[in-house]
Amino acid sequence: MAKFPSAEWIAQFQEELNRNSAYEDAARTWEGDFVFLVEPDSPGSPPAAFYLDLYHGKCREARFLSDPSEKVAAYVYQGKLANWKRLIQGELDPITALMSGQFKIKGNMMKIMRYTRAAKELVNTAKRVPTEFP
Amino acid sequence: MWFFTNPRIVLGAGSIEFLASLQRQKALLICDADVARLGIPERLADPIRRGGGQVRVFDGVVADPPLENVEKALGVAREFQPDLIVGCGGGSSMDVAKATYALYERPDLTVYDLHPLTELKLGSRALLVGVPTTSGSGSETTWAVVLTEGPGGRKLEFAHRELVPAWCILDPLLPSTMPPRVTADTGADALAHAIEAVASDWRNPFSDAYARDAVSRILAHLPRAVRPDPPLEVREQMHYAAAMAGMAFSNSQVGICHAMAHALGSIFRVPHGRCVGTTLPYAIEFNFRSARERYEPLAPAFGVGAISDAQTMTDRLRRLWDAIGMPQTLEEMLGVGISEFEKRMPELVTRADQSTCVTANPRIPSSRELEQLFWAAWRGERVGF
Repeated sequence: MAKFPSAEWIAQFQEELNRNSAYEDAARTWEGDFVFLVEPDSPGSPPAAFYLDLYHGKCREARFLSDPSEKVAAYVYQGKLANWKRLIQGELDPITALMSGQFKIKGNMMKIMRYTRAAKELVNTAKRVPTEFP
Repeated sequence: MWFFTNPRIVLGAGSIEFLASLQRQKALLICDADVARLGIPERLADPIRRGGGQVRVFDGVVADPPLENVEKALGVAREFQPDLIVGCGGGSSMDVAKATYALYERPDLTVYDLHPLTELKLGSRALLVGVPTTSGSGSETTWAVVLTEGPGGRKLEFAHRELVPAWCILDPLLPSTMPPRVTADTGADALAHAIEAVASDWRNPFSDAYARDAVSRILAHLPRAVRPDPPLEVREQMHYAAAMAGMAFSNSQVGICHAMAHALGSIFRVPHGRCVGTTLPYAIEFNFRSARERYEPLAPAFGVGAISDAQTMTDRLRRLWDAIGMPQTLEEMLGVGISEFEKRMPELVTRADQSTCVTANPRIPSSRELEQLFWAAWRGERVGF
């Protein structure tokens, strides 16, 4: 089991994503990189972050960032750790989570809203990674 | 956590008189040329003037309004400086009015900022009222605005809770002039809104309640509404049902029927209601295995004890469509040859796939499945995959 969030987890996620034919279909025209920012549930702990370079249905690069500001991406999807857990476990939908303020996103919203199927497949992929949450 | 947002509603024959009580200084009425030709803006202007207001009319809205439509209406608004903006007409006029209102209130924004994650804080300069003349898009009650990029361009789907009008006036005297073809198309749109709303992943008890009631009213009254000179009561039932269906889907979501319809309408320039009506049975058949339990409460409206399979619903719909002259296949609806349809297929699939309407559909189609759906609808084949 990979701990979330960790370098091991994102490596497994990338493998699963690149095996996901439904994601490849949904994101076949997508171009844009992401930082997924995991905010601590309580103050005092540092945030964690992943970087993903998503291009035409594949993930070209995925890594754990030791410093969230290390990479400037076209999109930043961020939320509290507890909400990331709920998202990955299927209790939250990635789009309604945005609309209810449980996650925030920076980037071109019109473009994001054209790829909601791809967004759901990103979450479906995360569910396939055997994950240990704190 | 979810939300339920709707306008305050004034209803009944002659309810446009309510506009007098708003006592606004300057009212901008936004409509299309057909509505203007019918004299409807003047009927709204009368109570506004009695309430002490001046009136300006922008009647340049076109079907499937392009962004330029909003820019023109906004130019009039910025010059006139209204404290009341009234969308008067079908969905196109309503959507132009909503977008104009938002950008008039917030000149620092563009239309692309009209999405749920922007904080709009509207309402400091004007009140927005929706007065529909069709039954209908339901846009007078919804958070959605649909514009187009231009002739042949894709549909742009915007939404924000603050785009729901403050008031909507449901006066059944206004849709009484709708010809049968428009009654059928707009009635089909309303029915699709309600049926898609109950199937949506974002459905909730409030949206379900409005949707069920809307389906019941529409199935009962649409056949009579499309005949010449229907009784006012029939128009009234359809008018309220369309608004209820709007509230249902605005607080739930539409689905692949609308995704396909937006793609078809934007490429082939066919009226939205006709696109929705023709594709609805195929969408139900596709969704059924994921939405069976969600459709079940519609059984009484469909006149059955239970909805045991998709055909229970789609056979009833196809009989209704036959009665109201709704095309049953895309081949019939589009009037183009198969080679033209095939040539446009990749763009149809892409536009449908990238529509926000897919987001909460109970069964998310792959691009291959979307193509199969379009072909099933072209040929009139039941969807069995």
